[in-house]
Amino acid sequence: MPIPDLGILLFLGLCGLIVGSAFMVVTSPNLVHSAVSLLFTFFGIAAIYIYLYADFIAATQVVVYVGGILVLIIFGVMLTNKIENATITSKTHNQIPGALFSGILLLLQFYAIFNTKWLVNDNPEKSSTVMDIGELLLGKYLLPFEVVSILLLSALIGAAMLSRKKVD
Amino acid sequence: MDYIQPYLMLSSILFSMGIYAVITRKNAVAILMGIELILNACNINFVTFNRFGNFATLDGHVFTMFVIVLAAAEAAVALAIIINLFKNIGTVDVDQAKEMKG
Amino acid sequence: MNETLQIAAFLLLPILSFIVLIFFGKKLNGHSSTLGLSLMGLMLLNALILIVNAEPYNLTAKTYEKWSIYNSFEWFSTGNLSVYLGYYVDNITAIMLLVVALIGFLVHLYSTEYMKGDPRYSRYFAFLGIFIFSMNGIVLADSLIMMYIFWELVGLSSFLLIGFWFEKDRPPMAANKAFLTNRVGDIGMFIGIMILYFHVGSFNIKEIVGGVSEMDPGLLTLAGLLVFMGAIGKSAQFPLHIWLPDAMEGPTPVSALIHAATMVAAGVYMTFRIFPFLTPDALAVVAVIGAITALMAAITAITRNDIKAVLAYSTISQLGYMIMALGVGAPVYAFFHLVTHAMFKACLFLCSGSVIHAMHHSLHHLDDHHTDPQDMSNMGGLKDKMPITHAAMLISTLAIAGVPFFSGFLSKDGILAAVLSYYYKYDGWTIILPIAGFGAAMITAFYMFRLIFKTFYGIPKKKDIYKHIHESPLAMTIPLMLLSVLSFAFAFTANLNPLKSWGWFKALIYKYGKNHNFLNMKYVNSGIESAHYDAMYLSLFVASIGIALSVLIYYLKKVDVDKIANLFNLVGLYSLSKNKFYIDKIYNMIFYKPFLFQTRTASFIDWDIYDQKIVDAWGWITLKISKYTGISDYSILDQKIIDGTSHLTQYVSTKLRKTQSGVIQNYLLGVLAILVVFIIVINQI
Repeated sequence: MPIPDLGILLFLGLCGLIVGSAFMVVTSPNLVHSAVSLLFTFFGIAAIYIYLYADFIAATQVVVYVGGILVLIIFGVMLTNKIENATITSKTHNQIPGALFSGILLLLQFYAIFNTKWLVNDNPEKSSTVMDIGELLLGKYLLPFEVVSILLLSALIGAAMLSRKKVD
Repeated sequence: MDYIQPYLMLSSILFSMGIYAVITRKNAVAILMGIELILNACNINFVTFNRFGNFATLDGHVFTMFVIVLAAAEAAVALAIIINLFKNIGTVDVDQAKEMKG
Repeated sequence: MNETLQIAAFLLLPILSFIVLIFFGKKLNGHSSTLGLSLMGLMLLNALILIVNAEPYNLTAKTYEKWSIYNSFEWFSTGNLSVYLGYYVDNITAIMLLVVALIGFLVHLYSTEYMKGDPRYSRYFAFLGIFIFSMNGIVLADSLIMMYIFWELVGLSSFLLIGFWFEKDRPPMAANKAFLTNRVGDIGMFIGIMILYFHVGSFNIKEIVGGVSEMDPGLLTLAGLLVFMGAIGKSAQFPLHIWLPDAMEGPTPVSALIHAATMVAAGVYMTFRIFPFLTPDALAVVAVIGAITALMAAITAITRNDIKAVLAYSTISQLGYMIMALGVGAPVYAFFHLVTHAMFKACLFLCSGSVIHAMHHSLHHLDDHHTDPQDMSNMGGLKDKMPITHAAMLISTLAIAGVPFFSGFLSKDGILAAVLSYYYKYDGWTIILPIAGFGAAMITAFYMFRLIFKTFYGIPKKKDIYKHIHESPLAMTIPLMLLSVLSFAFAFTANLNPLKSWGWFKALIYKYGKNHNFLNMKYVNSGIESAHYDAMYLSLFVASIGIALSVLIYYLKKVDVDKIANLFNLVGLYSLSKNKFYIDKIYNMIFYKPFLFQTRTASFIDWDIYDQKIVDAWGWITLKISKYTGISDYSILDQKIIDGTSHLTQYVSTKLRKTQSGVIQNYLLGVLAILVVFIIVINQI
């Protein structure tokens, strides 16, 4: 039995980490545990991006998701529970039909993945993707980029507006 | 890893888990986590296809950027809504918010 | 091109007159006659230029140029049907155009004075314009269909002019009668044209003449007679002659132009054109109709007291002569008589118009609105007051009576010769043709002189009227003088021998007696030549008898009128004449009364039976049906089906509302389930 490549082993390990932590995210009754598991998931995904030659995206993943969104979520968890609740729990419902249909959906995706003749074009790794992404963002995708900036701005202002105390 | 299938399998597992979370969790914040999982699965797909597909440029990466931005905006707005919900009905369990019951 | 323009002028000038006068007549008013008159003058000039071109037949050289100009253009074409309009001008056309233009011009001139003061003065001239336009159209037409179109147009203008004084009672009735009676003939004519077109494939008269030889003789006889029906209507032949006496309700110049000289002659002209393909059988019918008309109208004319009615019946009688001449195979004499008759009959009518005009003015002066200005019993002794009118009328009367040195003698003599030769040839029943011909000639002479004597001679019947009678103005007497000059024989022939009719006129028309599809015209013509002297002596004899009787009875008053009337009444002749052969009464009985009866019956069926019983029954049935429909509608449809639907909907929605839990995740679950199923189904397909 040949010794598997280290890269593959590492990949499998990452996959295990991601799937395992994601499973924790969706099933853990304790919300704080879920949030912490989500941290591991995001990190794992960032590592996967490295495998996909997407260094800039990996960095962005760490910065935005881990540094931003996850913090927001934890804030959300903390802000929406009364302090007297010793454990912050999340009840579940619909487990069986939810699991059933999610499972079927997964099987269908697997079916599609294995029955599609993929065009695999092994693009070479680029030394850095930052320049290319920058050129695309300020060239071909300038308009969507600006629109998305405005969207983000208005979303943040709107969020602030929504969560403010109403002043009569 | 020069095969496309493992990445796609990973993304589809994450996607299904996200769907499961969205359907089963009662807590709104937990649902939001499920949505983040779905978005991440989608991002993985974008980047995967950009790597293996016949693309000279990094359009997939750019779209991933956009998705991340949208995720951030969505998280912000969603949390604002959740806080408002909590203020109004004292809980963030979505099955308690059923004024729309027919 | 020049020729086309010259021919087109015959149509354009009168229609121009019509258009200008009908639209701007009110503004022109007094000048409208000047316009109409000058346009007619141009047309007359044009006709004179045209007739100079016509080539006469050279008797000694026996050669003639076949002079004719023609042109046609496609009017429309659908499928296999192509209809051409065009003109065909030969000697006959040129002469007809001249006659129309001359009499049209003179009538215009005459009318300027006669119609003076009429409130619709300009409209009168406009109508004259459209009449002359239509008449020229008939004359110029090279095809039967074009002739038919203008045929209807003259019918229309005749209708308009007869009913010109429409505020009176009788003119509109007379106009309707004329129009409707003509319709009867025109329908036959149209059917005939269609039969000919169906078999020959052309409307062109020349092509029809050339093409009918293939046709079945019986059918051709029928087609010819059907086309001739148009002539029966338009030329007022028995049995459709009843409209012409009534048409005298129109203004007298109109009677002269339309109902004496031109329009009524159109039937003769048309029969003349179709003469070459009429079969001998058809010609026999034509001859008999002409003979009946000639004699019957002449007898009727004797007892008329209205001056215009005498002339109207005289016109019918003379038209009967022409038709009879065509029937016995003498188209040349028919046409000759047409032209001479146009001159002297127009003159007679214009003279009577002059008399009526004078009478009318006198009555107007006396403020008498009840006395009939046309009644001869109110006249008498006008000779001294109206010398020009008297002279003109005497000349034209001599012409119509068939006295030598006058034009009527030449043409009538020819016709009588042809009739006599026809009898010589066929014997048997054809004896009625010469009897009618000579009888009518005698009676014509008799009643025409009766007219003269009653009007111009003797002592005036009404002194006060007589006192105010004056000769008509110059505009009216010039046409009289001109036309009476043209009633002399020397207008038509330079031959001083009164018994020879050969002259410039006959030379122009002589060749037209030479062609017939079925008859050997050489033989017919030689027959006429040989019967010529017999006919001439006989006609001179009967004419002098007629005149002599008239002189005895009305001038010298040697014989009492009533005694003569009683004598004739032994065989019923007097009352026949007095009652116009009862034809109007017969028509009243066989057409009008049954029609009225039929209408009443139809009205009875329609109202009393159909309306009251059937229609109202429908109402009853509908009422019943709707009652039951209402019941079923309410108890079944409304209660069961419609209410049932709403109950069902309510039940289903009560069940369905349970799915609306308000929990978003349940909905999402449904969406997911459907998505999964959808994907599976799509993949299966």
